[in-house]
Amino acid sequence: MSLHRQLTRGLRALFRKETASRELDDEVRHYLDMATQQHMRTGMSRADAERAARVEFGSVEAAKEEVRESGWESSLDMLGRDVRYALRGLRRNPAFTAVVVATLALGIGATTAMFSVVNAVMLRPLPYRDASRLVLIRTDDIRRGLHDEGTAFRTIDDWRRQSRSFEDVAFYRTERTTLGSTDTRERSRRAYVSANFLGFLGAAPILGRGITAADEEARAPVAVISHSLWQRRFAADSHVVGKTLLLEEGGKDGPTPVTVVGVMDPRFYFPDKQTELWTPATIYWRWQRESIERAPEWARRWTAIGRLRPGVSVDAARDELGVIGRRLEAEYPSNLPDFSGYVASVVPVLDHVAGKRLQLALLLLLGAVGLVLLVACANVASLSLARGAARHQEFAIRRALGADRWRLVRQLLIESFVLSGVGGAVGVMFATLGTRLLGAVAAARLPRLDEIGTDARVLAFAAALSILAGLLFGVFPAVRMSGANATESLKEATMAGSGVAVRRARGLLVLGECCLAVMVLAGAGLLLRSLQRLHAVDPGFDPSHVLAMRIEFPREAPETAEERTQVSRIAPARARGREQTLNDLVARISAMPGVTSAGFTDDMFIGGEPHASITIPGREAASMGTGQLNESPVTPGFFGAMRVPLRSGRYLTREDAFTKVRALWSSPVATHLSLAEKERTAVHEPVVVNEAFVRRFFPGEDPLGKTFCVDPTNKTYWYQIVGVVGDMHRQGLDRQVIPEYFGSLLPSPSARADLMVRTNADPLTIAGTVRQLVTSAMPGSLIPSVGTADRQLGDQSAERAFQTVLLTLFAGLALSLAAVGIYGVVHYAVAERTREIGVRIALGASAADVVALVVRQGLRLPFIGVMLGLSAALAGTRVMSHLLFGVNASDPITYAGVVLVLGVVSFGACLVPARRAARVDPVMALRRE
Amino acid sequence: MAEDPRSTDVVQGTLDMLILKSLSLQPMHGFGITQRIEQISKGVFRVNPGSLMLAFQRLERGGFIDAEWRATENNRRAKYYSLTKSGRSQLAQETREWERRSAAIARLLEA
Repeated sequence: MSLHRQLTRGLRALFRKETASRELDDEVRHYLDMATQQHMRTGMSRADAERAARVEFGSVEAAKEEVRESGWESSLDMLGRDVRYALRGLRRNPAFTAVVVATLALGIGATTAMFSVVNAVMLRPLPYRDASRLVLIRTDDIRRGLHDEGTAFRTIDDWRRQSRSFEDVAFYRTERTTLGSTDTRERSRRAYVSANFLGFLGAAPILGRGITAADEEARAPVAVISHSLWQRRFAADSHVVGKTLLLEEGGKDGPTPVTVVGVMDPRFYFPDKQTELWTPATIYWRWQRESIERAPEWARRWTAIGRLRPGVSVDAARDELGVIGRRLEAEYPSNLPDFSGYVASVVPVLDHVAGKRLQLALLLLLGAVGLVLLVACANVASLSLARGAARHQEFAIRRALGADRWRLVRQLLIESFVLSGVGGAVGVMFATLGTRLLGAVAAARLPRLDEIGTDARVLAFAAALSILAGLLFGVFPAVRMSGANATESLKEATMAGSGVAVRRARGLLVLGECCLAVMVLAGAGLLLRSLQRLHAVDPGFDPSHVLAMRIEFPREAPETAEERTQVSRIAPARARGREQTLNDLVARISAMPGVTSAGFTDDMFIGGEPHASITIPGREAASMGTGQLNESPVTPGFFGAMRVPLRSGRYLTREDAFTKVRALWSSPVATHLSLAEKERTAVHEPVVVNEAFVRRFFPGEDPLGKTFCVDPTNKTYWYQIVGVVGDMHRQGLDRQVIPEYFGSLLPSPSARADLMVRTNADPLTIAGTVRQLVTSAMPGSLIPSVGTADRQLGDQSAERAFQTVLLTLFAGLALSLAAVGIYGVVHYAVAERTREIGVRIALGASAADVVALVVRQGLRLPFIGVMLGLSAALAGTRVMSHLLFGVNASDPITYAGVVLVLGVVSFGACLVPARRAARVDPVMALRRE
Repeated sequence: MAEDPRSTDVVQGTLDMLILKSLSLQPMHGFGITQRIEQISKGVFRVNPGSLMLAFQRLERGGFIDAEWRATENNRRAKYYSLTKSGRSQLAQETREWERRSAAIARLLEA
């Protein structure tokens, strides 16, 4: 077997047909010559010899044909001919071709686009080595019902040493940081990482080196920086290694320099795209203190990431860590109230980046768009059947002349594949454009969407879809047409689109289309209703016309040695001073024209999962319940600015702020006293709580005047409830309100706060002025972001909105395609029954009668389809119940709406041909053959 | 040549082997091979020209024989085939296989 020869000879025969043919001719002729000569040697005449030779040879043409066909290139040649034939046929029918290609392009394009999204978010591996085996290991606080919490270094170290499920374990934490000093200050994010980190992720720097164990050991102030940081602050200087970067760190006076030792690849990011530099964990300013503790909350801020050993499953790793956890529990118990235990949660990194919920939603959307594709294929199949019926005779004749049935089927299938191939190619173009648009618009709201693109996997998917579509709509017509009973078809003078079987088939297709369309519509309807219900939720505050400005308070000069000795006198004075500044600022902002009121809070739209813990005197710790609890300091004007209603008691005042200062710097209480005794002497900070707080801690009681504390065993700090305000949905309208308590906001250096300014016009117009006021009142403050409360509230439901828009689009597509399908079938039905309609009109039927007849007949099958679709939808939408809000999967209003929409559309699709039928001239109709 | 009513077509598998054997002595054209096979088998085997042409293409593409055009009288040309090295080893292999099989059949018929 010589591959080279097979190829060359075959190609030669393919492209030099005449040469190959001539060679064969010459060879055969020579053979016949020789045979003739031999016959002549036995005494025959030339003519007789030639004849004898020819008879002996047999059919020369048949032999040549056999030789030609035995080469592999002949099937290729035949394929080429079939394709050309198909293209010619399609060119002769431009209307049919255009409609089919458009339909397929829409169906395949939409499905490919959706797959691109799934590909970008779920299928494409994260940019790390063996990303599928990377898992995040965090702590689950069973007792307090909190999940995926941080862990202490000590515990992580124990996990790493004792566990055998992981090849390696690294750890990290991120925090905000400020780069540069004075004029060049800017916000960024940094990560503290363990030494093996970059190697662990399989990422190599493009310049310099990573962080080594030696760096970690020596606590060297080095950093690896991201590509974007390198370009921005070092102008992509190739000699950046060795240069220093100033970073502000907690606990240090002024910015400290770190030495750049490496630069990362532009595609690398960890753990998110905002983190721009990676430094050794050991230079974290509290490292020495923290790294020896296990239990206190402030030591538990690290996240571990592990790579599973091959063959170890996530569950197995979790179980093993559970065993280790119990061992640690026994060895190192703690009775700190906020101690989280040693139970580990193990989550694949991909599920962390793109949550399970989002992944499921994307798969559902992919399924829905698949249904749309089926509808498109049904339409094309219907059209093919109609067109095929017109070629009935052509195929009958060919069969009668002896054409191989398989040959005809193959030719018809090739036609289908040509159509689906072209449709697919156009669809891919649509999909690429669409996804690029999507990436630009939605990238900020959804994880990994900025990486969307048409890569090899997407193209392979589109190709597979084209082939599948071609099969789906091509097989049945091909088999049907090629099996035509020859004589019968020749006798029939059949019309296009007619024949009982064809009619029935097309009717079934329409039925199927309506069924599928109902299913997609139902899904879209449910999501739309969910969105509507979501927006009907009262957020608990009024977000309209509110400017939301995130502010970072300026750093202050560090305390001098002398000041440190007089902390009880200096610190409260400073705190009061800062409060005064803030109060003046708020007053000045409130006095601006166009501004109604203003206020500060620490974090308007709570990110993260806050879990403060409090103790109520006279209550068991266990009865405190589990779940989140948020502490949120505010300025007195906040509730008014956000229009949060007061339920009982009063709002906070400036007096309360002063009380807080006293409480913070009152002399420490002896720790050995009982809780009741401690309370008696303590200054209580006045706080306002929300209704959720009351429901959780004081159900059925009047909370006003009640007290609670934090850190009861040590520096116990006391609060007293002076008012109750309405609940605010600050974590998203679809999430439960969490209990909160609001104290007075005392700005501390470098702390973050949100300034909310209510205006009576577009809030962004005053943003510039407010910014100036802020920076002049507090020089050195930073303003990382400015927006409106409305927009930020909307951002919280961005994912939901995305899903809804997509599914509604798909539903619209399915609906249009079904409408076109219904129209096509009714149109042909009318054309077929022209004579009958003519007779009816001649016998006195009115236009209305005719229209009613056509519409009634036309709606029969869609009606059945809708009924089927409703049952399928009722069963099927159960899978999307976790995506819904405020409605359940069998919401009757939605289904009624779906039936109505489909009914109206079907009616319209039938109406157009019906009206044309009513205008038929009975004389012309009766004359027709 | 005279048609012996008892002569049968050569079986396809053996035709290849017989072609290779014929070419092992000297290069030949198609008719020459037919003649040789029919003569040496004393008329027992008859070569079907169509099968012959097919076999030539198969063997040539398989790399077992080479083809070469030579001019003949009256300005025509003839295609001469010759055995390649791999053709030679293929022939040896097929011969061995054939002998093995016929020995087995002989034993079966004797038993």
